Amino acid sequence: MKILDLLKIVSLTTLLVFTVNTQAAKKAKKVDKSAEHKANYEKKIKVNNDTIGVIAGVINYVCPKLVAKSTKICNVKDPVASAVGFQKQLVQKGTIDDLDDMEEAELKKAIKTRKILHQAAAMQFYDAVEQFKLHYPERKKAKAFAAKKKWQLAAQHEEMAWQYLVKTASRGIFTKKMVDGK
Amino acid sequence: MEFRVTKMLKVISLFVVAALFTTTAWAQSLSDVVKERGLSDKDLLAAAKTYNPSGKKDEYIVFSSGGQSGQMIVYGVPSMRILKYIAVFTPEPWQGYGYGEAHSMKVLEQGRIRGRKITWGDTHHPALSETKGDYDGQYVFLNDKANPRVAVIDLKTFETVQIVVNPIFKSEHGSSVVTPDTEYVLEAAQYPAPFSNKYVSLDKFNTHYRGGVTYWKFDRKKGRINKKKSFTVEMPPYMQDITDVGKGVSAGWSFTNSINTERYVGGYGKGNTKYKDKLANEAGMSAKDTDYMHVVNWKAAEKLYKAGKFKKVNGHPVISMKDMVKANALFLIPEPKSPHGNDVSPDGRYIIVAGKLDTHASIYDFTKIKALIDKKEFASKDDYGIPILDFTKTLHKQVQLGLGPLHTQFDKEKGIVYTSLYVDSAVARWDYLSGKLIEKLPINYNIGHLVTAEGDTVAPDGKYLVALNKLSIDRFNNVGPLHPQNHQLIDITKGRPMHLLYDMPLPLGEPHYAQMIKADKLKPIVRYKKRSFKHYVKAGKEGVFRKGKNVTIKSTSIRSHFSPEVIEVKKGDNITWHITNVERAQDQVHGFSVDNYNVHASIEPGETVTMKFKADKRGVFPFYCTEFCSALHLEMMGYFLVK
Repeated sequence: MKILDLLKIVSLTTLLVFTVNTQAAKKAKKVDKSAEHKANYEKKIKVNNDTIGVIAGVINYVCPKLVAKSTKICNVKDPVASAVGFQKQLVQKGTIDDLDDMEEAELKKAIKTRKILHQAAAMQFYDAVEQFKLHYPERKKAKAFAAKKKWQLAAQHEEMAWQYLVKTASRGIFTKKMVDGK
Repeated sequence: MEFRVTKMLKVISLFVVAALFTTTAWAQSLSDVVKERGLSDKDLLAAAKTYNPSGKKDEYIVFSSGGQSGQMIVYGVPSMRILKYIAVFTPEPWQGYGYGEAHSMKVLEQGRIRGRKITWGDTHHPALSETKGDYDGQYVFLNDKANPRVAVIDLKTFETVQIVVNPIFKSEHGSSVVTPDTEYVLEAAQYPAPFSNKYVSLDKFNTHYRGGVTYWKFDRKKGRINKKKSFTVEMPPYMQDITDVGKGVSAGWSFTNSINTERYVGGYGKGNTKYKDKLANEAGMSAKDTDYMHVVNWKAAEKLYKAGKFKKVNGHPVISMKDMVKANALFLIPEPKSPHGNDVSPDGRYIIVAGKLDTHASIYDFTKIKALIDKKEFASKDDYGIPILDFTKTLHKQVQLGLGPLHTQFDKEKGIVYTSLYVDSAVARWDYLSGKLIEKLPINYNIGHLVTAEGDTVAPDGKYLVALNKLSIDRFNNVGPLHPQNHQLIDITKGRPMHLLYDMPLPLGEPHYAQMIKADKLKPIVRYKKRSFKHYVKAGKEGVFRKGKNVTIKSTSIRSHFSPEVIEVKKGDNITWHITNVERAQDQVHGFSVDNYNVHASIEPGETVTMKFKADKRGVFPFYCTEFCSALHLEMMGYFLVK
């Protein structure tokens, strides 16, 4: 009998302690999460800035190997302008779809007259720049949410921006391999 | 300071020791490897001749039949690396061929015979399209012996674009073969049967069973066979076999071997329901000393067809033997019994027929054949009134090669040819002009066809030969009783004895014939032109559109998402799902599959695929990209919800 009573008391105490602890933890978590999201957002900003730094390096490396020097498109001080300039040089007054629809011989001719130095790498790099462009609106949205202290949403958009940057980087690195002939 | 220097030295020493250890651990000299693996100088030479370092491409591409797989095998020479299996008569999931993708479903539907869907093929002989008798690298044709059909493969995409069913044959063999400018693709029947689809007793074999050769008109501009401009030349109920076409002096003619001109049907085996007392097929089918080579003036047959001198059977024009004979367009020449290969020389003057059951190769001279035809000098006629030319008067030479000669391919060097010896398991190198046997190289085992570089064109390259061996027996690791086939690469460079370079196991059916083309003649596309697809979806224009029960989904795919990602429909909706791969990077392919719906597509750069299926089950069905397309491949998914 004594043993049973003891067990009951222990069980009740355990339950009580557990309930109190859980409630306390929940309260603490609620407070912590906001800070956590903020920290996460800030961390992501840093990661994205670093990734952009890497991408800039790749652009500066591949640009002179993709377009002729005479076009004066590549500018190490402004890699984004280099990338956009490259795209304009490739499509001229048309769109990339026009190039897509050209017969191989016609495409080769267009590539040559447009002073593009590596056809396959150029197409790869065009796609890389397209992905890069997609990261801007995400970061803009992230900033807007951050201003409203909606850290979780801000972090999510910063994360989406990073996804586009990763896609840019993967295509960029592939472009680098192609221009290097590896 | 002293401490620092000592420490640094220690570190340096460690690096040096580690470096030394690493070097000695993995660096090997060539002689070490040779010793370790027990290789000979000959092996090393063969390895050096076939090894392609990473990134190096092959000089030649082989298109090989895939036998019972219903596919075509593509590999490079000299590396013998397999590059592709082209789905032809059989659904193939990786390429999204026959798993809901509308274009491939339509092509496979074309292959229905008498309403029945046939999803396999016994592919035998690929034929590359030709211009002036030379491979032009534009198309390749492939036949199905079991279910008489011919497929067209476009070499811009390496995809099957058409399957044509022979409406009158019940089996075939001598196909595919093309005329020198690919005006026609030939398909010769094999086992005689009534042209109609009706039951006819075997007692009426001689009168109602027939053979023939179909001349499929190829429209190069459209890249398709035009069934409406095609015809068949009726032939006796002999078993027509390997076929080749004339070129040069013999242009406008075609030559088809035959077996069982005895027209024997056996009765072997206890369960036979007919002819219970007859001997087996083998006994009667090769009883005579000779069979016949059919000699057809196809240009004359074309004229008959255009003049309307044909009867339609199952809706298909058939020119009768009678009309062919009357037009001086069909002849027979005796050939050693149960022959096999039938190969026209690059200049078109000679036709080499390998004996199979005879140890000789018989070389016919077309100028002699033509002279006899022009003089109307015939030895006799067969039971169907077809003129038979005198065997010896048409012959250039007969050369004894060995046991079971089957097929012949040509060398760059004038007069030099290679013939497979099935029973001997050897390749014979010989001179068909002088009639001299030069050498024989043993192979492993039971060689069927063989192929040399561009070896059946007007300008063969020589250099390499592949023996297409039927059995591999002990060549490779045992993988159970069904072993792979063995394609053996042989160096046939002029001035050197033939020597074996490489054994390649092929575990995909029994390949019969193959053709070897110079790689630089092939100009496949790298990506599709998006706008060439009617249902091309432009990025940003995606959506789900409903019209009653018909739901059209317009999607795009790009690393690493489909757009849209969540699609909800109702049970019973008819789904048409267009997906455009908007990637323009080379090889950036996406796969597409929906759980439980048995659909799969390969969406290649620039391509729009259309999947059609009925949402006949309620539930939650994830769809995803089945190619590991990017680091975020696993996230490239969505939900197809049916409520």
